[in-house]
Amino acid sequence: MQQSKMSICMILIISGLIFFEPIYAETTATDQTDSKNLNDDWAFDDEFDDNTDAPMTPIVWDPLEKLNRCFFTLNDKLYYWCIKPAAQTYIRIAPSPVRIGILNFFDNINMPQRAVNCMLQIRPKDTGSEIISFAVNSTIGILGLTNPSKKYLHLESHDEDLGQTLGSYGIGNGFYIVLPFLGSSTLRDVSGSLIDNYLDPVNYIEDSYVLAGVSAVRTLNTMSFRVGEYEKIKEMAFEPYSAVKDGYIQYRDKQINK
Amino acid sequence: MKKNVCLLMVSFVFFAMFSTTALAGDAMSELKTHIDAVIALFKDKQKAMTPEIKTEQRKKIFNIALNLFNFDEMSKRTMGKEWKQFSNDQQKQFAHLFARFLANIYYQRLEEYTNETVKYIDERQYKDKSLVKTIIVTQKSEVPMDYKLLQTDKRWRVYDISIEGVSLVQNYRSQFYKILSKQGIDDLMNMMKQKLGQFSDL
Repeated sequence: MQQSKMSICMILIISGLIFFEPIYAETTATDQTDSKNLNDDWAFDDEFDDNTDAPMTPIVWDPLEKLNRCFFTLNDKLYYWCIKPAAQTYIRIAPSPVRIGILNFFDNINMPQRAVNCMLQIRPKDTGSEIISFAVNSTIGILGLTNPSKKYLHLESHDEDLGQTLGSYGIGNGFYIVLPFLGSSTLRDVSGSLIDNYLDPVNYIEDSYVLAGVSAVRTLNTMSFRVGEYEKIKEMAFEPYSAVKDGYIQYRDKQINK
Repeated sequence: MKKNVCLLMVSFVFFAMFSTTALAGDAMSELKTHIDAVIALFKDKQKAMTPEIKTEQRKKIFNIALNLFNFDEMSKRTMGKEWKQFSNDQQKQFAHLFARFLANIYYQRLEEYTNETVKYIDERQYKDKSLVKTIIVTQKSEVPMDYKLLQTDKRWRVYDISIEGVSLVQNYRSQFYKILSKQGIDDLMNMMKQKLGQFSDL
């Protein structure tokens, strides 16, 4: 019952997104073409158009800026006070091969999300490659702790999610959202990841304590590879909030257009 | 003996021809020359590192950076339309500050990487502009890095870098837009000066 309610909610949000887009597109038509020029690497005539006269305008709508900035500050403090020290302790306890093994394990069991999204983007080859990788890594790769599919079969993992799938259908970002704990996202990507969660095997663990523990280890392990990134971003930035926002949007655009 | 001299002369001429074609030619090889020079400098790093050597290294890197990057073009592009509204003095001052800032960041990033290699993937040219795609291979990962170059005075220099699809120029543009929507250019430049204080100076 709860699940069906959630799905209805999701469908509403996504249909809302589709309606949202034209409104946004109208008000910022010039920005959109501008950001297209800047992002599309290989369209040469566009690419090398002289952008010096381009207006200095934001590339994503940010109606919740005040709230977003609050959460941005919260996440900033969380990073320095909790996540970073925790990750550093964890790095001291767990040597690098262990951490890489755990990273591979969680990557491997997250195959359904990648395979389904490759399928939704009508990329049968990549879907197949994901399934073969999963089969190989789960058996020969010892429950996914190692990654023989990449090493020996040269099968690359396709980091796909529903946000990207929706993007590939031409659905825009909607607007920018900063989530507490989770960081940058957009209306489209939040909606996508809520549905992607149904494809994540970890979420099917019934015991809520075990679920919390597994999720914590996963997050900590992922963060242990990313300690220091945020400091660099801040060091480079004059206006960290805008820098992170723009970085996120550009990065996602690139992922979608890949 | 004479033969040897002859050989030396011939090889010298060949070398000269080769290097000039490389310089007048494509953006990729020119970019590669500069990046190789920087990497060579940092390979020396493993040796003893006294403060004097370090300052000298910084100077060398900064000189290479001046040949590698077109800081004026970068400033112009990050500012977009606003650029024309600044006075000549402001433009110069801003370009100077931005150049110093970026050069410092560049140095900072270089210092962190040790065993990276650069793979040159592809190059596209359109009139006086060129796009060079590279991949930085570190022990852990492969990071795509694209350089956009502009040819001025027969030199190819970088005016934008995209790391994992994130364009540096556009990222700074979004930040400066935010700052300039509330404050003036002088406030921005004061902010830049302050920010420069976090580095030991070049």
